[in-house]
Amino acid sequence: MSSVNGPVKFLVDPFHVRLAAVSLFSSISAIEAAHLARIGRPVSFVYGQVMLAPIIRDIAKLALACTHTAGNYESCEAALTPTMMKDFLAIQPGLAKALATFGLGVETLLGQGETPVTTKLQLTQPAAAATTLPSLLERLAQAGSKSQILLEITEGEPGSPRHFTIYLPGTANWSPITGDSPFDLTSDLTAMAGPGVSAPERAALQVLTSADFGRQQGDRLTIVGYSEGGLAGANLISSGAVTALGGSVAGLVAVASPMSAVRLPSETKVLALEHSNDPVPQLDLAERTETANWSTVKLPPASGIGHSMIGYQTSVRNLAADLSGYLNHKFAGLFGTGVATVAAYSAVRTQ
Amino acid sequence: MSDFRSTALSLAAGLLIKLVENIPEWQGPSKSQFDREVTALVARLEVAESHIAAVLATEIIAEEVAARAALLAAI
Repeated sequence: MSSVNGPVKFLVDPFHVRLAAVSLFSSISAIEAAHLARIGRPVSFVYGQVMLAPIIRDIAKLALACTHTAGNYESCEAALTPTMMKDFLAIQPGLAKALATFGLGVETLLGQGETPVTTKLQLTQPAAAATTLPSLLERLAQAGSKSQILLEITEGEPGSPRHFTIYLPGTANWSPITGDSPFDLTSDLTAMAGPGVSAPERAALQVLTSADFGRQQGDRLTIVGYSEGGLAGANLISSGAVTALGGSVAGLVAVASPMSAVRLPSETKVLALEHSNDPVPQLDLAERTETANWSTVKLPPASGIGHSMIGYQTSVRNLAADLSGYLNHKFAGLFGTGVATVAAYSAVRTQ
Repeated sequence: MSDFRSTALSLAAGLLIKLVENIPEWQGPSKSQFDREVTALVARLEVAESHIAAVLATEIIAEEVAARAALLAAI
């Protein structure tokens, strides 16, 4: 199968192009095998994950371009254009979920996998409600500093609806061996694979239930999460677990979270904050465009790999006044008002 | 184990390099583009491999030092 077009020679055998795709996928398997061999070295494993994930993604992208090309010989050149990339973008989230499911299978085999989880109220105290984006992040950082779940409840006049804000921290334990913390690599992979199962989601539901969320008419919930916490928050909304308690969802503030692939009701208000050099929000291989209810704010690069909570707090404090005003206005319904009660909960896995 | 790690990553790089060299029934601009992309991927893979190897070596040394320090402390 060949043709000559002026001075440029074309020679394409779809079989060989498909073979190229198979070889590309084989190379991905080899890379994953090399990567999984480091599973006993948590630092190297995580570093390898960060380094290799974009390479694997690009190899898969090229392999799919080859598959596409083989099936569309006449549009061979076009298959390496943005049209092909658009096709790939549509299936990338599925690829990320498949990789997470595969990783979870290995992790369950080696590290015990998911376990039951219990939460315990540690402290309750009055505090000012978080009424701006920087104050939300400050409270989220407090939750992260002790790897606790914080629950802020504001009540207006007697009889008026209550506003709940739950703060979910990021990953505290990167070991592939399941430990005490529910915020770990195990639940990372579980949450990436799909909603409704991960330990942070179950812990958050226990906290909300113990605080009687949904028991009064008009109860509304804002979920604020950092990294894995944001993904768990998106899953809580996606699975319908929050509304099953009787309340409604005000929205989600996800900081540095790979949650763009999670399917959420279109009316859910979502604010995603991502440093442009932070690889973690990209792990889901998905992008979301701005809509009436969804904003992804790409912040300027921060130090290191751009994933630290302190870096995000600094970036949010330094937001341009007009953007800050726009976000505070657009997402005003996500904030509490007045004086709140803030409760801190510990969460541990029970083996 | 370290031999396996490097072998497996090299295997991946080798597979990619063969793709550039051994697809006789595919010529033309798309193949040139393909070759460029694969060559770039191989280069990225090699860089990643060297960085990961450095991190791994550091992690192993840190573990060794910690183990010896614990042993000395016990003595």
